[in-house]
Amino acid sequence: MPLPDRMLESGGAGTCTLCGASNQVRVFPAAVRTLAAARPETALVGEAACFDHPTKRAVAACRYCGRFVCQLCSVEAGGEIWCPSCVVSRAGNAREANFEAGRLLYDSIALTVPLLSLIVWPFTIVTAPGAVVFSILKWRAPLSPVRRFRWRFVAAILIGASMTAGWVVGLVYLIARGSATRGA
Amino acid sequence: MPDRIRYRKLPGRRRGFLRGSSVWLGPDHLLLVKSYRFREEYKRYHFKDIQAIAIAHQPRFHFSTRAAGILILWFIAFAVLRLLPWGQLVLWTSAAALAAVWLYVSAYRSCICRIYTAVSADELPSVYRTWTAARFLRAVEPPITEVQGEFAPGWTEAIESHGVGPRAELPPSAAESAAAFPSTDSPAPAAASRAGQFVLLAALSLDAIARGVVLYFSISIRPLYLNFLSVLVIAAAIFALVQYQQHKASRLPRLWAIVTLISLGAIGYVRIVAINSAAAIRASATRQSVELDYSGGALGSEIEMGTTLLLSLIGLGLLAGRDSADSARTIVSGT
Repeated sequence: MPLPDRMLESGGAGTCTLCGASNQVRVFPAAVRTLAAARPETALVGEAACFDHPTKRAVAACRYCGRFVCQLCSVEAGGEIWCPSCVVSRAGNAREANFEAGRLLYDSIALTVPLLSLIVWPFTIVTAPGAVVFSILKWRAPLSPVRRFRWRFVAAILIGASMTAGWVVGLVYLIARGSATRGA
Repeated sequence: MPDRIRYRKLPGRRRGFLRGSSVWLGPDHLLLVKSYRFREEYKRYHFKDIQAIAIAHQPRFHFSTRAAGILILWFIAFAVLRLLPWGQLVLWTSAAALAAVWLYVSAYRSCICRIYTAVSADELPSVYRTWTAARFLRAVEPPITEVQGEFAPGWTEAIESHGVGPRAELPPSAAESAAAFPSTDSPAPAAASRAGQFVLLAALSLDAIARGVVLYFSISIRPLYLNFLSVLVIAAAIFALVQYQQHKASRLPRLWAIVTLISLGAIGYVRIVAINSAAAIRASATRQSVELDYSGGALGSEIEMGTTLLLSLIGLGLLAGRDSADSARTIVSGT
């Protein structure tokens, strides 16, 4: 849905004529430039043309494969130009274009599972050592791009190890008490 | 390389029980992070592509995990201080003040923030309070302006000619496809969409009335019947969820059913744990066997009755809201 023109009139605050809500809009120059920039121009005779669109004028060459690309096909990332094929196949340095759209958070799983299983605590006999092993196995797995530290893995290992130790001590105590009772 | 990008967190964070969201400032883009507990989804908005940021004032009744933390603290204070002479007054005054502040902020100091590019108009869920939105704008304006520069003369005419954000018009083929495959959000037949809500509302109301009668009118109802009513509520909530899965109900009734199930489960769990713990403490103090009383006492029954009553009122509000929306739609289509 495009932004209604009435919201752009003042360039700042405005009131919606439908619901009466007061709105604030900050418009940037890209609103004016984008359409003109994204329209590829027709290549003249003798001019370099786009690999995928032979009738369109090339504006750059792909950083990895060297194919000419038109304005429409050029993908800019990190100050460099890539062609769509290299970006899709994540070829060479094109993987640095970083188009990752989602990630599984192993550190959150490792930390949450032993804590959640406390609700039905007997399950911790499985989940506690499981969290320790899982954290060690997935230690090198990529974190969220906005998380800098692996403290969740550390916490999961500490909590899992404590729970496991608790189980070991408890079982040893029960076994010892059982044999003492039988001996008496 | 992806992990080497250093992001700076921008003002605003949505903390939900299952979903969260935040926006981060990268070297040449904004990163919108939507988290689903064990998974994150990312969307990047390069500074050169951002056309506009719009903030519309709108009520947002979001119950965050932070608010839940405050509620838990209040319950702890309630358990500790309620027997003191001034305890009740302080507790209920503070509860009323907290509820009033939350209602005021949700109704009058909330907003919806959208970011526009040539091909998208996405909501930023983390920016939902007006003061956060102001800080967010102050933080993102300088880097965007630095990349895009200043407006060329006559920019207002250019905007008037093609507008801001993605085009609203669909190409004919897309419009035909949309007509052939209606969206899952399309309104379902009214009777079908409300059956689950009516059943759940009836079950909750029955449950609340039965518990209220037992509590305040000293009429005894066999625990078996009360348990049967609880099972009925759970079955009705599951029925409402099934209706949503079959695209016969909208999202709010689904949320209501989920909240009902979680509330009943949590109350039942806490009640059993509390009764067992209290019995264990009593037994170890007296060194005698103690009989377990699963009725849970007056406080437990009051909480249970209050919760079902509150859930019934929420359901009633949902049905009433839907009714008024339907009549408004009828009036609009009639005109």
